[in-house]
Amino acid sequence: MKKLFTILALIASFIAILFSVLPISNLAIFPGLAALIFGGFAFYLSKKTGEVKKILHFAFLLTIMALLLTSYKAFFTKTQVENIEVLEAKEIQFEEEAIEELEELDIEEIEIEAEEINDIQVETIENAPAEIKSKNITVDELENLDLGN
Amino acid sequence: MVRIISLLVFLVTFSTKVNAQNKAFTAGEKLIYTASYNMSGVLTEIAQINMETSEVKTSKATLLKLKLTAATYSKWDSFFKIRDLYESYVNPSNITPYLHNRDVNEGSYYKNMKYTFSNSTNTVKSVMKKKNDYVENNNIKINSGTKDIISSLYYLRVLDYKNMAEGSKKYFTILFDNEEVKGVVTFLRKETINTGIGKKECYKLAVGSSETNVLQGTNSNFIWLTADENKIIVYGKFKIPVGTGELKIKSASGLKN
Repeated sequence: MKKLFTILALIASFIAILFSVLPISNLAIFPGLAALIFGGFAFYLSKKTGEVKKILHFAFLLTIMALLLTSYKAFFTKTQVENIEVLEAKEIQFEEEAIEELEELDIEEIEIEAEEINDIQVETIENAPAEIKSKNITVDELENLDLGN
Repeated sequence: MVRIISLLVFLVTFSTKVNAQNKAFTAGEKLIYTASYNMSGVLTEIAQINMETSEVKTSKATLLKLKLTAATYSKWDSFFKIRDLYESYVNPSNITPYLHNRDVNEGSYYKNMKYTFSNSTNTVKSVMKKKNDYVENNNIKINSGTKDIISSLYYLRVLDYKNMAEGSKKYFTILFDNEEVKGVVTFLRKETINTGIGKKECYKLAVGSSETNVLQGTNSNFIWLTADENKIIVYGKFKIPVGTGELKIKSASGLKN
């Protein structure tokens, strides 16, 4: 049992150190915690028998290094985008090409817009009579109306 | 039963068309997002996604250019470099696309797709380019109202969620890799969430696809749009085999309202 926990702690600590140097360093916390738990059990069992193997110290050392590196990267490394010059150049090139192609498009297609706007306006006008009906007009208001001549 | 369903689908599509006037965004808008991988609450930032709008003038019309760029953070570049560019030239008021360009540059993979929409004939001229000067031309017949992926994404912001009942669905047809894909958006409910631009009341939507693996499942991908006139996407959550993918807004500028 002691041997099994030691091996598991060692494997987990290796995974933790591997993750910590990769861009997925945040995920190193999972194998790191697993290494500490397995290592803790192995240490407890070893203490019982009175013999703690050096390999277990090594596993702890690796785990602590991995967790320190992960913490450093999480707090002090700035995530930023670099080397986008090619992408920016492409954007300009594509826009120039696109404008050339758009010039060739049939103008009728763009006129669709006007028809759709008219549909929406009609809908608004339809609501108007109902609003007028509900309006209360007094006799005084009608008498004061300016009807021209 | 089939007739009733067809009628409902027709009504939904029809109402979408009538209400489809853009009051949510205009040229000059810039939204910056971070795409992350979330495993048991531990976030790993992968890429930055920018969504920008600008005005493009031709001799006949003034169009709106919708642009989305995705670039991996520098720490990822030596492992897996992504430099993707998606753009659409659309009618500013109803988001009808005229031209779409998708330039995918991911690691050693490269693909460029260009669609030129002819909305009067419901056809699309497609040009696909790959590595080693591979070029493929196609003419595709599409259904009326079919959009490309970027104009569909922006079109979500045009819809009127105020008067939408919880659970109501909107159907889309998206042209992706020369195939029409049926997409469905379900309005779930209003939610208040913390975002990179403050605490916002949002419309929570479930997005899915009935076909292909573009968006798997119907209730495993969610997006949150601000419940204001701008309806900007502030948060997205997508199911992936291990963990979840997240899209979080970092900053927003040039908003219309």
